[in-house]
Amino acid sequence: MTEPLRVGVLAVQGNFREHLAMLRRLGATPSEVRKPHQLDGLDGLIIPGGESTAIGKLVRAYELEQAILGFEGAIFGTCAGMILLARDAVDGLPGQPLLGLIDIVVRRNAYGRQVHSFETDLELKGASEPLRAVFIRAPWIERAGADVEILAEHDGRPVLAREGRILVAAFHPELTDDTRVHELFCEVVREAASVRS
Amino acid sequence: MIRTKGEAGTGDIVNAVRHMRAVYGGIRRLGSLREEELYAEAKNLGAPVELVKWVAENGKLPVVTFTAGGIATPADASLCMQLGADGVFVGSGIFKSDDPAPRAKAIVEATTHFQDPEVLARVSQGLGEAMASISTAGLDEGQLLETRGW
Repeated sequence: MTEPLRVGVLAVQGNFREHLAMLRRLGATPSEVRKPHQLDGLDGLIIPGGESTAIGKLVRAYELEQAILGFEGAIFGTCAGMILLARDAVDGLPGQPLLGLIDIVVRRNAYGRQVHSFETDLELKGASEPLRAVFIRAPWIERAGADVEILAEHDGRPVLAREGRILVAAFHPELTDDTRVHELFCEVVREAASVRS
Repeated sequence: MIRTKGEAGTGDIVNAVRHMRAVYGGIRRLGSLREEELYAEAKNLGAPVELVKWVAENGKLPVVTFTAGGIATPADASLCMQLGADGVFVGSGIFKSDDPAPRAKAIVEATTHFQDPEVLARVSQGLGEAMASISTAGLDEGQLLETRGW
């Protein structure tokens, strides 16, 4: 019997509650992260969807930016969380806070405004069943570096990708009953932990 | 989303608390009913039975619940979050205060760290005067916003 994974969810803004529920379903031990010391002892961190500028500003205001940059576990960013983890945003606001932990360039609100939010089926790399994906004012990946593995695309744009211990999704896997993307993240968390030990 | 009403523009948190307690009390009551009673309750409420069952099972509404009306201090915001709100709206509580910008920042921080007394104590200091509040208990019914609508 292995110990349950300790996965934090950044809880300064956005839909952290749904990620916490999903992690509980998968038998992980989730916790809310609002302060730097709450990252101590965690195996993984999820940065949820929400408003990327608001999350970015709050991450700075609460001194979480350096703490996340220094965090050695796996990190999963969904929607706004993906933007925050990116190296660059093509239409970023001046001073748009980006952590640069994955070599991708994103486009914010790439599919349009709220009215253009949609659901669709994606082909998930290595899976036979399609993955239902909810895109809410979603970004997409404009360019990805050579070391970034693309795990799903929509209309030729990467929307799920991984580079080492960092996983990003343009959509909201926490909003459906399909647990596969979070299971994948739990694998990334375990791999990252074994690399560290 | 759902917004509980409070009494806007007063800086009086009492009504916001009362409305939230009514909402969450109603949800907790649903949770105590047996399945066959939920059918009767759905009829009383004029609500779809599937929705009533979902709320009874999950102990919350399927949408985000914001609270507003009367929030003027970081402590007010924290109180509403502790009562179960997913977020707060603050208008005059910020703009009618002495120094709106730091107060807005402090209320945001108090909302995030609503369970953290140390943060609350720190951000509550040095904000200048809060808005001058009006007690809703002293208002005539005709002046109240809560009695408007349905």
